[in-house]
Amino acid sequence: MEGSQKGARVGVFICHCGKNIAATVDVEEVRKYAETLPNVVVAKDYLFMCSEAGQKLIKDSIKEHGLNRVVVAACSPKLHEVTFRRCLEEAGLNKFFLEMANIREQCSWAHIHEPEKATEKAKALVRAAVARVQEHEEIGTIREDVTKKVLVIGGGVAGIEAALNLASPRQGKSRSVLVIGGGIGGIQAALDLADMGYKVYLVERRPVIGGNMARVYKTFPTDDCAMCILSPKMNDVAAHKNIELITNAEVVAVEGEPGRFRVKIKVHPRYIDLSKCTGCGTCSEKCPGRAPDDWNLFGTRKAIYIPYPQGVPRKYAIDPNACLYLTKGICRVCEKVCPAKAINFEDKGGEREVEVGAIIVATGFEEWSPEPLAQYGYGRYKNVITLMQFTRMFDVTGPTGGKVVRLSDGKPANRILIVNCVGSRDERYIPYCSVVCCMAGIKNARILKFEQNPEAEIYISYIDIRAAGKGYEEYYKLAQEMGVKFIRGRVAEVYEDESTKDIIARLEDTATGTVMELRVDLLVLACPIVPSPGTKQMAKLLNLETDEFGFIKPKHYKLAPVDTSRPGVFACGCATGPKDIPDTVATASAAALRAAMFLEGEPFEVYLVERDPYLGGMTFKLARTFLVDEPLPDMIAPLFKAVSENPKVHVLLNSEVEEVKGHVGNFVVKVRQKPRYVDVSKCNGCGKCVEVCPVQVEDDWNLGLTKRTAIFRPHPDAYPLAYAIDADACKFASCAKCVEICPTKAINLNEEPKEMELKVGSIIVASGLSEFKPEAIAQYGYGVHKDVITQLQLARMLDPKGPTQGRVVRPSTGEAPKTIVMIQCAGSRDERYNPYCSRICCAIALKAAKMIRQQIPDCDVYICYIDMRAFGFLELYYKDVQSMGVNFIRGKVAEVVSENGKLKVRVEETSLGEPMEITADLVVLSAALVPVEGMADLAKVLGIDVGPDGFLKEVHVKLRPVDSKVAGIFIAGGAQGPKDITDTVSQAIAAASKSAIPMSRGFIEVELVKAKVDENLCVGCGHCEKLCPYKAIEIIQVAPGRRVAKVHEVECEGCGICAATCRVGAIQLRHFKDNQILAQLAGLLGGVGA
Amino acid sequence: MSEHGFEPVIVAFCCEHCAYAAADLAGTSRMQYPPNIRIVRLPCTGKADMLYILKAFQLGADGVMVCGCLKGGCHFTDGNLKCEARVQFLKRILDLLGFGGDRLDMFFMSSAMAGEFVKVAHEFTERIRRLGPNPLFKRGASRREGER
Repeated sequence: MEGSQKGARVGVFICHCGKNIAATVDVEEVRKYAETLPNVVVAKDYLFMCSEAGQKLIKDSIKEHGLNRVVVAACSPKLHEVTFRRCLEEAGLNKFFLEMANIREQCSWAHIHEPEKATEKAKALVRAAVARVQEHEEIGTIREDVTKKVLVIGGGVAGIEAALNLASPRQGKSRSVLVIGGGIGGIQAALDLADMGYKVYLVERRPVIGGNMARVYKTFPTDDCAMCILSPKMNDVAAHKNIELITNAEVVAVEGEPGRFRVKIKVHPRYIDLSKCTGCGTCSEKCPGRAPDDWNLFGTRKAIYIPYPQGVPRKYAIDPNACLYLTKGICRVCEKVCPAKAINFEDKGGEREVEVGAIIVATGFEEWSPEPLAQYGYGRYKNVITLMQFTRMFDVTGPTGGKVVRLSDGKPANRILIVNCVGSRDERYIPYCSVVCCMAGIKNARILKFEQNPEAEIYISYIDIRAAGKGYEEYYKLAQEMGVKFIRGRVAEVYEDESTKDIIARLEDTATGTVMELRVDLLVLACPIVPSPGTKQMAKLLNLETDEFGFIKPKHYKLAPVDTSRPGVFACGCATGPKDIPDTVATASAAALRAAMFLEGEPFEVYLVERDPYLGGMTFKLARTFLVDEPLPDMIAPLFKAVSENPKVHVLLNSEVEEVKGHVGNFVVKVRQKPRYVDVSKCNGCGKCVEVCPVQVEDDWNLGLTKRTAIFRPHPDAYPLAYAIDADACKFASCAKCVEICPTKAINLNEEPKEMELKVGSIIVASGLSEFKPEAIAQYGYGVHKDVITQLQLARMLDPKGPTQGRVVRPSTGEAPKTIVMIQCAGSRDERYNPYCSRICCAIALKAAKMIRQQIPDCDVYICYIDMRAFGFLELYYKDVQSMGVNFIRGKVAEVVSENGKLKVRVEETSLGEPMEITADLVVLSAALVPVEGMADLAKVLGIDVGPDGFLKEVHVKLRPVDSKVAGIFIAGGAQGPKDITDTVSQAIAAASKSAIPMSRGFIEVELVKAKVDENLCVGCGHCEKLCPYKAIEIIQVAPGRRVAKVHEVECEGCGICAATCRVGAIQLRHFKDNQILAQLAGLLGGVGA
Repeated sequence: MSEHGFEPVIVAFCCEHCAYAAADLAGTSRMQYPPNIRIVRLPCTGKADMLYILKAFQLGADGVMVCGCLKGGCHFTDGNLKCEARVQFLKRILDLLGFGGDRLDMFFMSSAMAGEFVKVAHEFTERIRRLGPNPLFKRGASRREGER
């Protein structure tokens, strides 16, 4: 029907989607109906509207009929809205003149047995779309040039690494990079590099990307659906014009040098024409061939298959080892039934040769098989499975349709025992700890009770519960409260009840000292993570150094965690060792920026703002690190040198950020620099000033272990070399002895503070960590008894250049202690102080114990702990320290009292059930790690959030660990949560990588699907301003006595809360305007109303 | 219109990030629910204006459901909570007007919870079927031409 109301000329295009829509919805009836709708000029249908041919049909129709609005009735817009929008643009129409009607996922597929009603519903959905699309308006994008400078707040290891990586010159000319492996690690690295503007070849050996993350159903600690957070990233990869996704392929040869690698990729034959396959699945339904399901890890799948339904690309593949035609020359049913004629048995695969500047290995992990541990019955008893197999049971698209059942008879599994560390922490098999299994088991237990069976009896038997990541301890607590039963003990043996096939496990609960037998429906074995075949292959092919377990060895475990032994080749995720998703994502982004060093590009200017007069942060106070046994100052010296030598890094010491305005790409930052009173360029570090300074104050840098003068330098290796004056202690003009004696006249007591205004494109917050003040824990006597100190104070003692010249002494007497007791979790895992786990204190205590035993061989060292969280390769370090004769007491210390000049520590050894009293010379509290003072204020200035734990809050703890809620502001290191140097450096480089994205492109582009205020209607009440989660709408004065709301379009996220809240209807959300939604409703409901 | 032949028309306002995706997943997994449910996509249930809900009833919807993210899991921080407050308010108004607050409700789910979407779709359709047609269209007033 021709229409003239608004000059709208609508074209309606209805997709059959093979049989997916057409089998249920009468497409022709809908098409005929569409023609009768007001302003519809033409209505057409096609088998596969998203295909090349379908899109051509739309484009041709637009031209032929002069269409200015398009409705596509097909699959979900979440799948193809981007596709059809691009199609409109190519035909010269604004992409927002499209509306899709979801007649597949939300119609034909959901109402299979009611075809007439489904058809009526499809008509209503089309009618609604036709009505709505006529109200659509053109929406543009705004583009803004970006300032290519970065502000880094915090001069610790994180800040320094971020600054150096941003400011270092690039070494390459290539604009291409290779990423091997399409799991979440490879996906993240590919997206970051593609967003920076580089061409990425992403090679994946399976027919689809997704990796292990696509298997895990839900992720801890947020219980997010894994596919829901992974799918958008996979779709971004598929749609990104800079990413070439090569699936069903492997890298077979690499030659050349960093900056110019020549790579050969072998694409295995898929036997499917990718340009034709629409992923409808008809072939698989009819296929008679079967193979063991290597994706779901049990059961079988068809010979023509897609590993999992949400896989990207959504194209099928034929397994040549299972296909009846390819193995026996019979069948070919798929070819007969494929509506798109996409089967191609002549496919020979192919070879690609590409030249790239850098390579990232992201080949993931696989689950170790517990067969060698015969006593657990895996492979013998049906109801004994691995943790990954158990996880697959939860997935509705998995092998049991989402039901957790006994494999012997398919009945629901109501009693389950999850056995931790099956093969892990075991010198006979896998000596290291796999980091994630404790949490994965807890997650599955929680989901089972929460989603499927609240009455289920779930037991987890463990040695230590390693819930050390952000939010993990809290999650563990929730599981305990839910009634998941934790048994501290190892399962000795397992046997099967022949008649029922129940599994009976014998284990000791070491907390109560009782031996028990558990009869369960399912025994789940938590097995270690080992290098995948891909990791082993690529390590060999690329000549990369691996560790004794086959993981790719980082160049420097602490300071270069994503570099490999070969320049230009980087590795991330589980290719370098077991880790969880947040660490995988962080190392992936870090690898992206490290790879970019070998590509064409410019370094960026960095302002490194530090509150203290010196760089180094908390890291610099350590004597040594765990795992990498180097003296810390030696390890960190090259970083200081690199900072001093890089002309693009501007270090601003004694400085703090006071105000931040603007948005990503163009922030304006006010920084205030307090006077140092010493000219850094003149001071030669001779120290004569210290000799004449009359003031003595507590040395806070050395945590009160000694005193210092008002003019000081905290450490002989501190950077910069120059001294500094503590303005609170100095007597200034009434003394001024230092001024006279200084040979280079470097001191100026009249120096004024400076105010600076910096224009930057992005900001990285790396403000670091501080130690919790354990005075709060009165029963430990910190601050009361001189000989109770913290780990950081102990670290200062252990520093050969520290206040005690490296000797551990009793503060009360100055003598070497004979007995030292370390108390773990002092203020951590405690509702009264900090409920979270501080992650690294177990490792810190182990390191300190090792150093003490080496220094004072006959000193008795006790470590009192709840769980020994020596996760990952720290497990080996733990074993090492155990063998040094350190005593481990499993119990929480009740109190520390003073008696006859010694300390008495009262604790229960829960493994023996016996209370103990240890007489100690020195008690060391492993105090919780907390954010630095002023963190909350800094967050406010920046407009970012802190979490309930006080640390900076990331947008998504799994997939966006370094993004703050404000675009362009990133967080890294201790400020985001307690972590060691390795993870700090990974996050710092990841944050740098994220900041490099808008700056590499040079501009930001924002689609204006944002809120809009009609100032004529606005009364300035301010409700919108209060409710906006992003501070993107602000009440401003436009005239005397007149205040109205103004939207900051770049910051606006388009949620529409303001629009729905506005009492006077002054705010509309573009593309979701009231007239548009109301037109849609009128169409949906038939248009006849009161 | 006979009670037995009554097929309710239900509008479901679904947030793009969770509920709409859950509905998509239900379809992809071939989970079946009544075709009475017609979905309107919004960026966030925080955008679900009271006007839209009331208008839906005015235009003839027999029931309106609003589906958003799990509490604490809103993609835009807390739009779903703001919507919940509106829905509670409107339910009271609809009761006062004699229209029936039970014809309106809000449900929470994550984008993985296809099963939950299907469950509420079934339950809500049944509820509205028992409540009968939209009171504004009783007394023989012709609802609309042809199909609904």
